[in-house]
Amino acid sequence: MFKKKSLFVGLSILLVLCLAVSVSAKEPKYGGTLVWRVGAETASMDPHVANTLGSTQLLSRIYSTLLRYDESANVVPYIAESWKVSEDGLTYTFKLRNDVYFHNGRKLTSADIKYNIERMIDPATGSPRASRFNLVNKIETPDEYTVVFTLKDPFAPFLGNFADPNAMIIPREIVEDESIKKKAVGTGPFMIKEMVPGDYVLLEKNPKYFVKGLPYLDQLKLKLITENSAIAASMRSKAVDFTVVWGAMYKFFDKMKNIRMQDVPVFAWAMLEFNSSKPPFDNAKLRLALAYAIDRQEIIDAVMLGNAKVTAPVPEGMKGYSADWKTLAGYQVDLEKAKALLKEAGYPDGLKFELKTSTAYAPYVPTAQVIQSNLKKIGVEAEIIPLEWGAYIKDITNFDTWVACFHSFPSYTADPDAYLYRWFHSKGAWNIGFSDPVVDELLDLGRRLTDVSSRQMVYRRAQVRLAQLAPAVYTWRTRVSYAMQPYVNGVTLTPPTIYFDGAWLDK
Amino acid sequence: MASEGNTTDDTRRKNNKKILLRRILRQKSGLLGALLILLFLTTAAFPGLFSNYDPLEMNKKHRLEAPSAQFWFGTDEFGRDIFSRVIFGSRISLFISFFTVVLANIGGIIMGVLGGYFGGMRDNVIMRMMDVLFSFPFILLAILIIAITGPGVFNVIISLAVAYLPYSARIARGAVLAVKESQYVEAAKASGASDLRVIGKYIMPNITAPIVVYVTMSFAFALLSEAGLQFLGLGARPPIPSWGLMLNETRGIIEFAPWTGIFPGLAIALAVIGFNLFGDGLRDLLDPKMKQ
Repeated sequence: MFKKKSLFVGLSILLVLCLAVSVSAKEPKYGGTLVWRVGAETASMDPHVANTLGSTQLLSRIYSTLLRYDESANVVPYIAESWKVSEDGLTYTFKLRNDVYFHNGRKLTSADIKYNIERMIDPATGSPRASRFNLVNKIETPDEYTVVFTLKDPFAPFLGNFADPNAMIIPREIVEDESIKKKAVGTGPFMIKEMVPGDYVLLEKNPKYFVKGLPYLDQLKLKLITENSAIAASMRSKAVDFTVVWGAMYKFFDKMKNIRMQDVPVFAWAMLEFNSSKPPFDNAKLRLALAYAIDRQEIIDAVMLGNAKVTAPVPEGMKGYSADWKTLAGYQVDLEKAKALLKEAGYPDGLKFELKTSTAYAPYVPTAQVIQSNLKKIGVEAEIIPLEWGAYIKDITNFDTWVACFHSFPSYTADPDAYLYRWFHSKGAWNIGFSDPVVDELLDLGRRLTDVSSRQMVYRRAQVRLAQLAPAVYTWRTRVSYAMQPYVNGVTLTPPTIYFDGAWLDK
Repeated sequence: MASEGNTTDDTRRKNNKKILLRRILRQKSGLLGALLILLFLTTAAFPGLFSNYDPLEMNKKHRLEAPSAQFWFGTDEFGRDIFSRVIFGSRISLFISFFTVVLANIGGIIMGVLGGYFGGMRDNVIMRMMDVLFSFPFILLAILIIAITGPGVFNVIISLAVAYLPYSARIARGAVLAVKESQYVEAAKASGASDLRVIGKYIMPNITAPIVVYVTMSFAFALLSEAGLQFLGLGARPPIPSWGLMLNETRGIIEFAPWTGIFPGLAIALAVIGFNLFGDGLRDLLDPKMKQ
């Protein structure tokens, strides 16, 4: 639940298919400063604890990961130059590069990897990434550049979790002297030069970056701008070189000349979540009745000005996606059925409930308003409670202080396990009060199976079951693009993040 | 000599005329203010008379339409009629302003009058308390109170009233101090009238003029701060139409759908101008110094 912070504005960053930006045979140029518009600052400097999009955006420039994604969402080497998975899917052996140095000059070895994963699993760290690695039974380091993970059970999404931009490798010494709270010492392409809270973070090139010849840029500046019209103005005036575009922002960018736009598929959801652990929404029929009354297309047209699509629990492009999701229960607007279900659920005259949402992200309150207007048609009254972000998170992380809420969140991996498990498994890290033995079993099975077609089947069945029980109503999945000045080249856009190490400016 | 006397008379007459003319002109603007206030009072009292559409009704077919014969002020991104929303929005704005002004002034006047009349220790305690409130910037104090009580219409009224209290207390105290030393007050006291009687019978009637003017002007201030708090999302909850909230909602789209912002903004401006002009006119009329 906690990590829902990673939101929506940023969802964009997250998920992307690549753009082969420099298709032309031009030679990359060295030097220059690229200004990247971001929507949020980092909430924590500790990459293992950080749980906001703003943190990932900043820290994953400075730290690097064992593996990373390429433009087609495949896992490729990064700190690890190769890996081997045993036949039974229980042993993962990584061979590390021998030329990786932290910004403080110390060489990275296998002991660092062991330390990092153990720190993420340790409950004392409070890392939201713990559930990604808690199937690890033991970690061995036979030599300085070899790490061997032994799992308790086979875990299909395991490799992808090392490529998650949040699985950053930190040096032990900054934890021990507690300087991690204030500074960032990584192995990544950039280092922090200057931080001005509320304004920008200026990064400078790491001359000892282990990917030879990179980065091309001398500096990368993360500039904080949140208002849509201000973002549009700064792109027009070339004050900003690169930004994500989503939702209503398209209204500004569609008309802009001399800006290159690249659409990217995004794994992100905006959900109306019900607290299934207490009345009135412990009643599955009631939840489904509401699902039938919500007009997702109306939300998309009004709030996102058409720049979004209706989404299923497993969206298109993700493993386990099934094309027939439109036939799932609750995915069609059917007021008669909704009213009938209301009656069956024991609410023939409708009901009144509080719908909490946050004012932090522009589309939330308007989406809640459309939901409110939709539900009015079946006699259900949703009272919108718009809250400031901190208050909102506080309320929705306690089952006693919310019954329904609306927000969106991105997925950092391309595997459905990553979020289905966290939200809907009764042991999930951000469980929303929902517990169903069938769903639990299916999600456990999905983790153990390694065969692609049987996993497809398992997630399809989980999706049908989830639609029927409706612990959450999926609404929109925004269209996301990156907009950049024509002279920006080589930014690697992958599903979970963007990499600026290959970026260069042609000017 | 005679001709000289005539000249002075003439100039005096001319001057009088000028002054009269100026006063009439001022009255005119006051009259205009009164008309504006009347207009908004009518829309607030009978919104149904003016609007053909339900301000909450979303209409998929008419989304973000520019002003037209069908939708005078255009529609917002949900397809709601902005004219109806502006009309209905006058309700909540006037409601909040009215109760803010009433609460703030009742409280402020009581404290100001008591402090001013009794003086000494009591005056000190009351006015130092007001000074504490004064030391916060007005809108920040209101936001602080809402941060404690939580957002909502009722809490907006309370917070604005508290933030406003010291202003009206000072005005009332000042007026009392000016009147307190008058001979008729002395005479009333000497003839054995109780404090309550002195205040009620001799002081209050003589300080009503400045207070009435001040209360009218404070309406404009309350309206503006109310819109500010609504804009920050601290007041009415959506979908209740409120001018400040409408301005907030238009932020992302105003560049290509300016009518979503212009009309609620215009409504706030007109209402504030209305109260200011009316207050000005009233002051001219009531202030004895201006009569010459």
